Amino acid sequence: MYVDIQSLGEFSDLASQGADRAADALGQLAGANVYVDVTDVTLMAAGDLREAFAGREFVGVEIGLRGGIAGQTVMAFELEAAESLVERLLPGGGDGELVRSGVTEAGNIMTSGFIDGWADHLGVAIDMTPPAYVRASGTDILPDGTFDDDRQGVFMFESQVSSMDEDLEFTIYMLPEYAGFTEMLGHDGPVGDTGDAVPVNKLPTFNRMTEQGAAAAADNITMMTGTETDVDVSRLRFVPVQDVPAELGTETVAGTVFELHGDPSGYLAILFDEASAEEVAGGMIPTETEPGIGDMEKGALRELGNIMTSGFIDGWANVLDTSIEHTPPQFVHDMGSAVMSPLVSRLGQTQDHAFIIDSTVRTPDGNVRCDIYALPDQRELAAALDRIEPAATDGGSLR
Amino acid sequence: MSPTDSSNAGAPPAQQAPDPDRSAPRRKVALSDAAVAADGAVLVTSGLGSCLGIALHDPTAGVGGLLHAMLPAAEGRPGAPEKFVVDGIDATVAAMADAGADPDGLRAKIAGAAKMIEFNAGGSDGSVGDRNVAAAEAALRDRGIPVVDTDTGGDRGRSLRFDTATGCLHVSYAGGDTIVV
Repeated sequence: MYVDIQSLGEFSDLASQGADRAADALGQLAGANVYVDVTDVTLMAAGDLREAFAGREFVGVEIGLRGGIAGQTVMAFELEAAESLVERLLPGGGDGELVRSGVTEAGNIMTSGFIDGWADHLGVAIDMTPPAYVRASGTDILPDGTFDDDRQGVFMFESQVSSMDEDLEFTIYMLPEYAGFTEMLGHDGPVGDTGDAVPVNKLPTFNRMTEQGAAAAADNITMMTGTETDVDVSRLRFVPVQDVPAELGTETVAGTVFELHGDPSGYLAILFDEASAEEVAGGMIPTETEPGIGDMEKGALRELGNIMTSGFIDGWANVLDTSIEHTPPQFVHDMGSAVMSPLVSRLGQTQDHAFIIDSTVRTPDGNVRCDIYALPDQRELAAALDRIEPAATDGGSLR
Repeated sequence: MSPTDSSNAGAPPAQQAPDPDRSAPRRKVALSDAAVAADGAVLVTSGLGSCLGIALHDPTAGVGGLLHAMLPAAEGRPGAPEKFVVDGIDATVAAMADAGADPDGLRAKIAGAAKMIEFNAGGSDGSVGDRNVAAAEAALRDRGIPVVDTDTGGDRGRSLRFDTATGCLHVSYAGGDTIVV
């Protein structure tokens, strides 16, 4: 099943506009400026989705669709976020009814904006059932049939929402029913030129291979510093290129950036928060050093980044059956979003959206956190995915 | 499991602490985005690396605009006008005129365009940051808008706060140093 990148981009833009409208509506309710920092399209294996939603409580709305697109669309907030939002609207007076009406209104605005956009785009009529409020645990919030066996992956739209005036941050999830949307977007074979379409059924495999690459990189941290580490999560997202820096925020990070050359080319950034950077660098330096990130720490982080990158791209090169080279490490120590901006500026010269592959490595005690961001050239990635052997895909789906 | 304790529902209590800019509304400008204010709002944008921030002000009309552009000029590339310095300046000036500014009475301050990373590939035509500054200077000159102050280049990222009431542009760096241009 192939989805052309241009449609995926339009799909993402419509979701983003829907989220902007929902944020405006919430902002009016809350009397605050509420912004969507970024709206991602995440393509995940159903199993990964199950893990991501496990043990969390959600509230949201469910809307049924008929006509041009059939199926169910769900929009959800984490219950805690919805309650905190209501607490701000009405300190001490928040009750279930208010959560229910606020969530229903936001859900209605967001999903109808999205569905209307698609109906216009496709020139078809899509009927919506009235939104039904739902409260559910874990994956019970997801549309019916999310975990049907024949599904290779799930599309999820995730909007990070924040406010300038209040300490307010939450996430809105929107999940269209897979079948209806892939029927609309998908093609059985490649479309256009090589690299114009992404074979979506291969993405979960690719994501798993990325996770193995990240695990190899994490092992390198352990080897170099003696600190036990684990890959917490690895996700593949598709976002407007200008929204990539917002994924990182303004927290100061330290680490290394690499240019990748090969199939695919692109960029890799290995970034630690400052405390983590000091801790791992300290583990590599035999002597006591001044607090902070000085020349010794920079050298250690460069060396570590170099080894982690080799481990990471070996994982890709194996599954994609290509060779990928990387440049020497460039040390960075600045706001996360500023570190990303030159990378997206370069990608942005040729593409409007970007695939961002983000793996988080952590120590069990949570003291060290490292994020590995890969930003491949989208056409080269799509072409490389197409070359993954079907056997590799069949072997690992939905686990 | 069920988070019924709403007293601390994942967030600290609402802050009423005085913030110097608390009285003026604050509006956020994303990357590839611009905002215009005629009400004295403070326009805020963060995380400029190679990107360029262009603050435009009509002191007489009290209208200000802030653009956060990524690349020098569209030249047929896809994306909103605000993704590009040249196209974004035109869009911002037009929006300011709609808000009551005199396009002939504007002045500009620019900040950003750091060179944080040396790239191997395709570096022959200068860094993106340098090209952004050159594009902004040329476009502003062509439109008769004087550049009254700048804080560009270097190797550090910046965040900007543009006070449209006064025309002051606050530039802050990672770690907390702030200068006013």
